[in-house]
Amino acid sequence: MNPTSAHPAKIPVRAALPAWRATAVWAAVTLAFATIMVQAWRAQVEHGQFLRDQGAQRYLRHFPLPVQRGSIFDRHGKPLALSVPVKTLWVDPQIFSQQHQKWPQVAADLGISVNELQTRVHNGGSHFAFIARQIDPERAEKITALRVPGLYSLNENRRYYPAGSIAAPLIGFTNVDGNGIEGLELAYNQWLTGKAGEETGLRDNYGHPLSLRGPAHAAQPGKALTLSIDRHLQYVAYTSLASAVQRFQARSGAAVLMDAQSGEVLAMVSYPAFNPNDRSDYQAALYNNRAIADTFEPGSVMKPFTIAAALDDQSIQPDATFNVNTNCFRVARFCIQDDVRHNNLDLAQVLKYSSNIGAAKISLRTPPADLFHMLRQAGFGQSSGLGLPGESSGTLPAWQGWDIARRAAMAYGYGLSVTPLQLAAAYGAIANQGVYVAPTLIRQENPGAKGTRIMPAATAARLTQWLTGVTGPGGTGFLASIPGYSVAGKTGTSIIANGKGGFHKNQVNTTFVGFAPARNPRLVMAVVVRGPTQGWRYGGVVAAPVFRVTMAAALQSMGIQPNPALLESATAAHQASASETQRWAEGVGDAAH
Amino acid sequence: MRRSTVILAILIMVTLIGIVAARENTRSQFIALQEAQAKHFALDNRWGQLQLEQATLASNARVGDIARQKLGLSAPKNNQIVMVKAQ
Repeated sequence: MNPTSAHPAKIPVRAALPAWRATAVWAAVTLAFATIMVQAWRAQVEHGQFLRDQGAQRYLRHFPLPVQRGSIFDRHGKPLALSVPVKTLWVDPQIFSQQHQKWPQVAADLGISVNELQTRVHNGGSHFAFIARQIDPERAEKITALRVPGLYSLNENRRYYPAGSIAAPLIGFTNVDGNGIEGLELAYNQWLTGKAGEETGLRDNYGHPLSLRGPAHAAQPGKALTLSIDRHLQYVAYTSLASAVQRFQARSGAAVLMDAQSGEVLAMVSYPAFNPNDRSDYQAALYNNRAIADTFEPGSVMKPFTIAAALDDQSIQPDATFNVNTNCFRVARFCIQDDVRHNNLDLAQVLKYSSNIGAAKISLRTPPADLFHMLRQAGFGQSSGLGLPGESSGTLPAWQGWDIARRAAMAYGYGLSVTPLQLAAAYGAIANQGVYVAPTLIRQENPGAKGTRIMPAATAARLTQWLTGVTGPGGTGFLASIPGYSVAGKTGTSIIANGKGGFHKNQVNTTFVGFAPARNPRLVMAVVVRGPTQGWRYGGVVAAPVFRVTMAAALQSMGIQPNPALLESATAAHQASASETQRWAEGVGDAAH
Repeated sequence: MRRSTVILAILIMVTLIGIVAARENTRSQFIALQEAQAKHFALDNRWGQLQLEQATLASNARVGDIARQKLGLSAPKNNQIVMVKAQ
């Protein structure tokens, strides 16, 4: 008998696992899964969007979509300001700095030295630096084709001004980011600026888009602006003004041409001006829109309003005459003079010969409040409402403060200051049968009758008739006459104030304001040439020819036919003699005040 | 193998192929979008250049110079103007 069989080997008996152990394992596994599920719930449902956004921020890029700034057109649809697509090159300095071997090629294509490229890279931030802004797209493509890691391109728009300097002070300009900072570009910045778009997606190391995420926010282009300006007339006004400023070696000039009935400004020029397409040679003085910013004592061009105020309150009658036969009409401590001595002058002759003494006598008969209200209603001493930056209101002191000397001086345009635009708009009221229409620079689709009556139609008609004599033979505005057309207007020559209560010895403003055709006025224009130093320095000599050239072009451009009778007599009338030329002169009396 | 399992496997395969096809479609559409945007930019650029070119060619100074110097034109004098009455 095998003892072993008798006593089978002892098999170690494992004690039965306790029941809690399996339960514990299951519980642990279940708990672990439950924890995972909870975390998964939290990550994907509860905080899902937040985490997705956080992730996206780390690998997605926002690509700005360039917005097109609205164009500016003249009244015939000719462009005055355009935005053209260009490219801007930028780099991520941290990546680009590792590509030194390619820098010479990039610098050569940009037309700069490697040192300059290095400066531009270092001038930027840690992840962004412009190396070339707003360059020709073809040139930019050539550089990006080098496939330099860390070098990227952006689409932008650059502003161009096809009219150049002739409209520059009026149109203004934008900065490199496309925001208007001067002129109409600034005044209508909100209208012209669109809303920038943006799209989000992935880009490779060369900046090329790989995929987009979600719909793009499309850019909304800016709205176009159609001005009342006529580019051709703007050109004619600018060149004739520039010619006068150069010929008489004046300091500056400004002119405004308006439609008398609608108030639309057809031309607004300043000289000297600047080239808005190249502002590297910055001179702040050239950026002024002198037609609205420069104020001056207007001189004799104010006489028609003195007469209108006196006629309206019946201080004088239309057939009144004034004895001006004196070398010195003394008012308080001032001596008022005329440059040519006359005997008795009626109202037409006071204007025709620009008699300071006659105008002062009229003003002294008129209650100052009436003259003040006439000037105020004609737009003096207040903004024109164009909304252009830098516009001056001029000054028109309250009538309560006028002493007798000022009352006399106001009659012939001293003691107040105006802008060329205010003069044009005020004369527009005379041309428009006594109704003042506020000037506008925006093309009016349906110019209807509107405005404020500032004088009776009969008074406006009389003034028009008398002002026509100013441009006739013997009148001070003879050089403003246009063959074939009747022209009404007034010359002005005023000594420039020195800001210390006195006047500069030899510095004058020469002015001409007028309208045509006098029988049915359509256009009104004001011309101011500041500080001529050569030749006959009078409004009738310096400013009137600018009016004639521009107005003639404007009348032809608008299809206003000349009067054949006036055309035939015009040739002989224009043969001015030396003595007639002398009559154009005026302002000696002004100088003595 | 159960029939339902086979059907499920087929459905999964179809779905996977659909996903691949959708991905491919997205890529090709994206490439087309990129090309269209590039063309849009190029056309925009060309349009701007043409507008500038037209404005430059039609500038008053240029037209005036050509009229005076090349064509020998000048503004008519008063005695050269003939008024024609409209019938």
